[in-house]
Order: sequence, then structure tokens, then C-alpha cells
Amino acid sequence: MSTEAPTQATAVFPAEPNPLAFIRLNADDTVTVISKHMEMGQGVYTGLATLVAEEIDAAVAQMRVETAPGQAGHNVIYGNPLMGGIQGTGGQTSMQASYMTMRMAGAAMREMILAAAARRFGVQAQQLSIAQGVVSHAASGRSASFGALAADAMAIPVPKNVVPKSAADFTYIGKHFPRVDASDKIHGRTVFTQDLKLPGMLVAVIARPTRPGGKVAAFDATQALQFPGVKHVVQVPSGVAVVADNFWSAYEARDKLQIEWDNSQAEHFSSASIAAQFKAMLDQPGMVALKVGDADAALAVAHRRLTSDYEVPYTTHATFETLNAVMQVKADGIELWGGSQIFAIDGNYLAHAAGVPVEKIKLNLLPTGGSFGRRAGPQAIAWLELYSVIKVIGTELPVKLMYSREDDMGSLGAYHRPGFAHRIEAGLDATGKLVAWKHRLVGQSILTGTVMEQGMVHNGIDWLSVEASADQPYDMPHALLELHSPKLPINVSWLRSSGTFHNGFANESMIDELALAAGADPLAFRLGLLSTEKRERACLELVAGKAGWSQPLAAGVPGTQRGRGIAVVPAHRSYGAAVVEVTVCADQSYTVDRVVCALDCGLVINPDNVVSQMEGGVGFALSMARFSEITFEDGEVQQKFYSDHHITRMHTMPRVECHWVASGEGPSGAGETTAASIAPALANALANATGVRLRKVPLRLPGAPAEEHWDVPAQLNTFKGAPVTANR
Amino acid sequence: MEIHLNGEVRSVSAPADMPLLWVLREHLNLTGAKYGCSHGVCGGCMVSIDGAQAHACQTTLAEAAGKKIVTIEGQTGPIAEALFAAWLELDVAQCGFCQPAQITSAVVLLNHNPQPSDADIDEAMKHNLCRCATYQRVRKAIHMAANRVAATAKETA
Repeated sequence: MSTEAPTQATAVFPAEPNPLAFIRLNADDTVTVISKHMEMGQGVYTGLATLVAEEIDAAVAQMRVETAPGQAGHNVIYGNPLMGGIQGTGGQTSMQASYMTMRMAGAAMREMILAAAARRFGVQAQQLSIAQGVVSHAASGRSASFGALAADAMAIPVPKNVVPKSAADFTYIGKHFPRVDASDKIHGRTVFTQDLKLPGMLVAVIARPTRPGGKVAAFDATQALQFPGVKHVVQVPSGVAVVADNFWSAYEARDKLQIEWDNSQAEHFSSASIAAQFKAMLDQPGMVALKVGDADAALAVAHRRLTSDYEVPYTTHATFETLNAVMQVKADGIELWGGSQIFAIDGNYLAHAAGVPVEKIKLNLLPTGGSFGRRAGPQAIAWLELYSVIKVIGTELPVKLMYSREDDMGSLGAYHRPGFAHRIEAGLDATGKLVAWKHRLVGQSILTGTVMEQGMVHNGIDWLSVEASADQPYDMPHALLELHSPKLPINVSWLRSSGTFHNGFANESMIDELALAAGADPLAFRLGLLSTEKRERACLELVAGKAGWSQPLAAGVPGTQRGRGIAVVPAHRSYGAAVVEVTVCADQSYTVDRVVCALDCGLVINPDNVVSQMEGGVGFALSMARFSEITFEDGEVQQKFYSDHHITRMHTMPRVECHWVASGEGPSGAGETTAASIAPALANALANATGVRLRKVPLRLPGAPAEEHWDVPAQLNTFKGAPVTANR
Repeated sequence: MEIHLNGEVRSVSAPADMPLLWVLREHLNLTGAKYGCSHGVCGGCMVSIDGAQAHACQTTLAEAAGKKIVTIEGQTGPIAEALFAAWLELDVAQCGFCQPAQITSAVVLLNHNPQPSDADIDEAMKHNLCRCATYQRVRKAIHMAANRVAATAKETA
């Protein structure tokens, strides 16, 4: 049995163009594009605006973007065909899913604009041309702007059959198109949910038990209620809510609650107990996710066998904007403001809990300060909590629920990318060729038990657990992939690159170990296992060429060791490769000096944004590869702040060089793929530098100094006259 | 209580121990400085106080009184304008949440050090987290703005 990727890299065409749902011409000469996707930094607003501007020949400066109304049903106008027709943003599907929808909408709107101008000028539409948002009739010298034609054009009957531009005529696609949201963002004008203030709005924070199964036994709110600004303290299913007229009051007052927790039913698991459980399961056969030939028989007769175990920890989104939401419950329905990557999931959870038809839930979708999966399903937990708060206090005022940083990363409302243990046994023949591959992995299923289970879990195999292994690209005559999906009381979710991160790490580390064992160059060994039609080949060749793989790496200063590593991983319908260069210091700390990466994401719509996503993917993946780890003790998360769950900072960000493969394929997404190849390329580079093979993420060399606890830096806040320390 | 904010004297009626971040956000509707941790670790609340980088979450209203506070909304002048322009030209922002704080730190840096080295940028900017990891472009934009401010100064000299 093989597990197919749930979606394939093909262009998705709408049944017929729907320009009025996606484009609005405005009398002030602006053009508004309606985005059915959430903007979380990935640049989707700009991508969609590019497609529309291309088809209607608008000027860059006149493009605006607003979000579509949330629709919770299936096969809705604002549905994502790569998510089964529900409205959603994630898995780097947006540009692939919307590419032809937006171009067809634009092409139809172009015809409507031309028809309106033709009628006004009394000429044939074929005699007109459009440039920079102005329609011109060359023979008469007449012209009209989109704004002047707006009302007439949008009243023209929508044409059914339209032909989008041919690629040869592209003026924006594949060229630089400035981000449409940049100016507001850098000036602090963008309204995120954190910034939203509605008349009369209250702000809630919740004190939750720290361990799954914990409960509130009793609480005393006397002191909390005395804090200025506090309006209510109420018990809700997830804990005790403090509701104030501002966040600071609610947050401070929460510390003054006296809560007696009942931990009699609370969980006791720890990272050590989970690791022991996973290790034991690695010794047992699992569910078969992929079977080619007979891996056990081929291993038995292999000339040389290698076995390696790899570990990747739990980690969390740690989005800069913590989870939040604003809700107003009225007699006729519920209105929401905030983020939601998958409204069809989040909205239906809320509808079910509130006992209202989902059509009565109105979502005003706002851009978010990152998300990376945080608001794709896990958003619902905030909505359910917020609804419970509003019902208990019985208010018709809007209420904002804020997760503090420690709530976002370390409470029972936190979600984590599941940790995984992998074991790979592989065999080489006498010539050093890979002849057998047996891969077993253990980790929590993200999708089992969710509304996505039906579409993405087949025969017990959660695609997100095995992606980049079930579809690994190498020629393997005998391969077996087995999965264990233990159930644990930890909230788990996708996180940028999801399963391709840990599968990429295990696979590409093992391939490197095999290359070394075979005495082969790691690049040549990989290319020898990739048939010519594999898109991974071109990625490897491109990245190796740009990185100067065939030339020796320059030596470092005396006392240091330098090394470089390479990796290639298929991830979310695109393909990414990286070369990482490191310098290891005498104390076994190391710096990542340079990362060269290559991406095949099909057609590149916004080159500059693709590069942004690649650079960001490198920085994000280096956080996960080097620093970020969520561990548990007695059921409780141990890292609740950035001071302990480190992420890449300016001084740990390497020089990143980005390249993409020229491709005739349609667009297939650029936000996540790059992140998948970084951890193995880094581990391979460290092995190359030191001879030490690291098989456990985060990647720390033995004897290296511990990561410093990041405290308030003394050199800041100097206006106070003396170094300061954290006030809490 | 009165504070000197963005070139104006503003009167605020808020508790003296309220962090400046929440005075700005809740009382003055200036939301460019963001909440990210309230521990002085993420740098999302960075403002300039008496010309230095300062965590608005680590500064009480009482401590800020009498000092010159500049938030992103009040960043003007040749250095700030050069930084804004470079930020747009290089399309630095992704989600954008931390970007006002990044620019605030960059303004302070260039005011003290008109031609920072990469190491200077590391030292000044490592207090500003960016989960989207826009760091490479932040660095490039600071160099670009520094060079332009220097070139303009040379022309006018």
C-alpha cells in the first residue's frame, strides 16, 4: 500500500470566472482584491493582487486588498479547492489554489472594463487597450480610468468564457511587485487583533491548570476584583477568567487570584517518559505506510547495514502575536474579529458549542502577527473559551480574549508540533549502492480525531506524520515505512513544514551517513539515487552549483573547524535543497555562516516574496534545528517564554542565498518547503566539520556551552540610569 | 501625569506603575509598539526614551515621566525617513508585527552610529525578535539607509 500526497501540483481551474466575488473597482481609482486567504506574513495579499493586476493591467499603486467574509461551509465561493473546498489558508496551498481563480476573475473583469469603455466611447472593445489602469482608444485619443468606469464595468454581465493572458504577455507575474501591505505595517498602522479596540470592549485572560486533567477546586477572587479596571472574575470550563477594561489590569489581577487546583486526575508524563515510550515502540512493528519489495530480506543479505535512531522534540509556533480573538454575542448571532486559517473548522466548532447555525457566525478576518499553523484549528480553542466567558458574564459587549506569552506557549491552550522518534535501517551492496531501507517512526497524529481526519488519514496513517518519507524521492528497490501514532494528552498541531521537518531530518541525515559509509560524495550519492524525472535532482544540482560544492570549503581561523552539508526534501508539493556551512569553535559552540538554498515551487509569481519566504524558512528552521524545544515535566510545559524557547535572532541569522529552479509547472507554494531541508543540511555540515554525527534535534555538539538564558539586556533601557533586570 | 511623547506633552490619567506599553496602547491608542512577552525578551515593544532603546513593557509610567519618548508613530527626520524608504524598497516586512520595533531600534542605532558594521548591527538589533526571520533584509535596509543619509549629508555639506 502506498500513501499518496493528498494534493498534486496541478493548476486548479474554477468552473467559471467570478470577478465580482474577488474584485471591486472603486470610483476613487483604487482596485480592491478580495482575499479568501488569511495574511500572516506569507505575502498572499500581494500574490493575489499581482494576479488581478496582471489580467486587468492595473497600476501597482492602485491595488488594495481586503479579506473575504468567513464562510464555514463546503464548496463555498471562498473555498480552497486544495482543502476539499472549505475556506482555508495553510500548507502553502494559497497561490496554487487561487492562481487560476484570480486570473480568470481578472480576465473576466478586464472584458467587463473594456465593454463599459467601448459603450461609453461608442467604439468596438477590440479597438481599446489598457495600461496602468487607464483604458485608451488610440484612434480618437479618448481614455478613461478604472475609477471612471467602475460602476458601469461592474454592471456588465459577467462573461462565461474568458481567456487569461499568455505567459509571454506577463508584465507583473515573475517580476517585482511591491508588497501591498508594507507601508501600513512598518508605520504601525496595520490593525492586528491585539490592536483592535471596539466601543465598550472588555478584555479577558484565563488562569488555566498547568497540567492536563487538572481542575479548579476552589478560588478566591477578592484581591483580583480590587485591582483597578477589573470587572468580573468567573469560573469557566478551562479555568478562571479575569475580565477587565484593559489587558494589563486583567493580566496583573490574574496573579492575585487565589486558586486551589485539584490535580488528583492530572497527568504526570514527562519528556523522559515520552522518550522511553517512543523508544520501546521503535522496537515493535507499526502500521505500514509504504512497502516496496522486501526490505527485511534485502537487509539480511546486504553487504553492509547501518542503523540509526533520530529524535526531534516537541516545539511550538511561538508566533509573535499571541493567540487572541474578539467576539460579540448578540441575539441574532455571533460576530468575530481576528485570525483563522481554517474558518470551516474553527467556525464549526464554535457553532456546535454555541448551538447556533454556522451561518449566524460572522468572521471579520484580520491579518495576524505570524501563525505558521497556530490559527489553523487551534484558533477554535480561543473562540470556545471566549464564548464561555461571555455566556457566564452575560454581556452583549465585545470581549477580547488575550493569551499572554506564557499562555500561548505553555498553557493547556498551547499547541505543539509533535515530537518524533525515528529508526532507519539501511543496507548497501558491495559497490556502495543503497539496496534496502527500513524506516519506523513514532509520534502523535495531528489529524486523528479532528474534522480533517476523513480527508488526510488513510488506513490509520496520518499523512502529516509520514510526509517526505512516504513520498521520498530516492530509488529504493526495497523499502518499508512503518508508523506508530501513540495517543498522548498533548495538544498537537501543524507547524511550518510540519512532518517534512522531522522526516526530512531523519531521511537526509541517514542518506548522508550512508554516503560517508560508502565513501561517496554526499551530492554524488544522492544524484545516483534520483531518476532523471525527479524534481529534487534539479534542486540539488542548482544548490550545489551556487554553493560551489565542487570547490573545497575555505578553512576557518586556527582553532576552528569548518564543514558543510547538503540535503534535499520534497515538502508540500514543492521541492527544496540546501547547503549549510558552519564553523565550530574550540568550545564546541558553532556558527552557521552561510545557507544556500534552492526551491522548485513551479511558476514563481512574486520572485521577491518567494525569496522572502525562503529566507524566513531558513531562519525559522534554524530556530527549530538549533534552539527551540518544548519539554514536559509532570505534565507541564517547561518553556513558556522566548527566554527559554530560543528562536533565531539577528546575530544567529546566517547569510542566506536563495535560488529557484526555472519550471514549466504551475505554482505550488513557497512558504514551507525551504524549512524542511535545513536541519539535515546543518547536521550533515556539523558531521563534516567534526566527525560527530548529531541525531537529536536541537543540534548541540557534546560539551558545548548551554544556551544562555536570555534576560533583559543591561545595555538597554539606559534612560533609567542603571542596568535593569526583569520586573517579574 | 504628563509625558513627553512624540514631540508633544500628553496628559495621561493612568496608574503610576502601569507599564508605558499599556499607557501607549490602552490610553493613547498608539498601537505601533506591540505586546509580545512583557519580560523585555522579545523587543516588540521597543520605543526610544531619551534617545536610547527602551522596552516599553519594562518601563512604568512614573519612570517615563519627564523623559523624551518616541514611538514608531512619531519617528520623523532624515534617519527615520531613510529607514522607512529602505524598508519599503527592500520589502523587509512579512507579517509586520515586529517591524515598528525593528525600525525604532534601527533609528536609535543610526543616531549613535551613522555607519554601523555588521557586528554593530548584531549587537543593536539582537534585542528585536522577528519570528518571520526578516533579519537579512533588516540588516540590508540599515546599511542602505545609513549610506543614503551619509550621501545626502555629503551633498549638502
